[in-house]
Amino acid sequence: MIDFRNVTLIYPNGIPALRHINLRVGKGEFVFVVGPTGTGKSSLLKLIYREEKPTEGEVMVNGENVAAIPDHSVWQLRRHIGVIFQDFRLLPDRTVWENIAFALRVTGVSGRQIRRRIPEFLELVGLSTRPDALPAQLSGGEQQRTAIARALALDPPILLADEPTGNLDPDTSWEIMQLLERINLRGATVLVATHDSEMVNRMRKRVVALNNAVIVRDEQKASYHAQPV
Amino acid sequence: MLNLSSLEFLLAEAFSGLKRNRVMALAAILTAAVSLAISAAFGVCALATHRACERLPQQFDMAVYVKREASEGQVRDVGRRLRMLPYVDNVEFISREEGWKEFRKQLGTEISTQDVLYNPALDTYRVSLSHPEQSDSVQKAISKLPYVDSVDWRQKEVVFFTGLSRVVSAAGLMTMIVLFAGSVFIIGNTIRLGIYARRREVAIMRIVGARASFIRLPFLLEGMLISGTGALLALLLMRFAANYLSQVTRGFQSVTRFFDSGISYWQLSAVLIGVGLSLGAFSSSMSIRRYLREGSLEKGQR
Ligand SMILES: Nc1ncnc2c1ncn2[C@@H]1O[C@H](COP(=O)(O)OP(=O)(O)O)[C@@H](O)[C@H]1O
Ligand SMILES: [Mg+2]
Repeated sequence: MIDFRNVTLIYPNGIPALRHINLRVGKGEFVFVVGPTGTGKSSLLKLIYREEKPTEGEVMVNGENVAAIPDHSVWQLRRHIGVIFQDFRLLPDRTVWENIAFALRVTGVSGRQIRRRIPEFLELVGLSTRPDALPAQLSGGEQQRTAIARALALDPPILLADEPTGNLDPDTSWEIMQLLERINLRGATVLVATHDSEMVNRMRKRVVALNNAVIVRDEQKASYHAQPV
Repeated sequence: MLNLSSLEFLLAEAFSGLKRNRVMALAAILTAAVSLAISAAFGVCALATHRACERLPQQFDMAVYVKREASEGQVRDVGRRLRMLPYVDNVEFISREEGWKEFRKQLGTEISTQDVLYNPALDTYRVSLSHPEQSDSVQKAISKLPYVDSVDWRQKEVVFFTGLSRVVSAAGLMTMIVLFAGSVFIIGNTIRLGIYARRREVAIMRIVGARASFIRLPFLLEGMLISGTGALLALLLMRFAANYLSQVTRGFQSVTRFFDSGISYWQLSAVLIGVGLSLGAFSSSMSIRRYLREGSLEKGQR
């Protein structure tokens, strides 16, 4: 499903964010990408949704070389990938419902479809009772659930989460992780970039550890112990 | 690809963009209205003077007098040479006798040829030009022809009207360029602010996979709404101005009829709205191309 072939990413300022990365993620896998801040976790995800292009090597998604997709067709790739972030990125002046509807509207989903689908996703993320709340009226966990519902609304086979629990307390983080696992069990391939070792250890999933822009470890059902910096 | 609810959504987004940016949008609408009204006024004036000039040839023929001593063949020769000159449209021969008759008719008196010692008129060619603004050079060329006595033309009028037409067109063009550049700048700036105000929306549209055209469309519509409204205002303004002018010039209809642009209010409306919408589309495309480039989402987010 996702295949990194000897990928190097050097930013225009000369910083090598990733070096010679080889990584395969199969359909339906759940993978943690871990490592200290600044080791290239976000960059790795960005290569998948074509926010960045590799300096060297190829990133294949669904058998397609992502860098070779012309700019005007990137939207097709993006509809296959849901992305959530540490800062949620909700529209502050729109309600939970409107935030989810926005993603559907701008991708050409009809009003009838939107009214049918949103309750389903609110149910999935556990926000059925708060459709009319504004982001400021929600807890961090609820905001992230809204973001997850929005990312899932187009039924993408891949879900990328960049430090999804970075702004949340441990209990809420755990709930969000369980939600991501549920989404994984529904069939989505899930990649989570995080440096929250406690949670990674509880989940017992595949762990890809980055350090200094290279993969230093890739193990199934693994744990992760953050090195002292 | 664009279903009804998408269209509804795009229009709603464009309107909300304008509302969010009310002061700037209003300034842009007024600028567009003033620019379009003044440009249209110049356009109508230029058209009117141009049309007046086109009617000039008939009214400002040249009269070419042939020397008295020229033989019949030499007179015919002058006519042949006149027809070969550039910018000469039509050449008509009026013999001394005809000219004399006409002269007497105009005087309205009953003097016969027998009453005077000789016929004072000369053989004459009446020359009309295809390009009245070339009168000067044509006159010089004709004067140099053999057996031409003199050339008579209403130099002042021709120079005045062709000059006026040129000045009106040039001034109009300059003014239009300045005004349109100003409109493009202000509408473009409104759209730029709109893009900035909606950078979060844009970032999310990109990440969930909205098409680039879909992301651009609300901004394009925003620009066209601004200039379209401006065009409607300009039409209203011109309607008032036209009514006022027709009242003021009521006593001078012979003059105002001469300066007729020949286009109706409806034709003007169609042109103005067409030009207005293109102006808006152009201005917003400039900003869209510059400020809505595929960049990093982080940049879009902050
Ligand atoms: N857009 C960018 N331009 C230049 N350097 C960047 C950019 N994004 C990230 N970096 C640098 O690349 C390295 C990896 O960053 P990142 O992928 O964000 O790491 P992580 O997510 O693990 O914290 C860091 O040194 C960071 O400063
Ligand atoms: Mg990061």
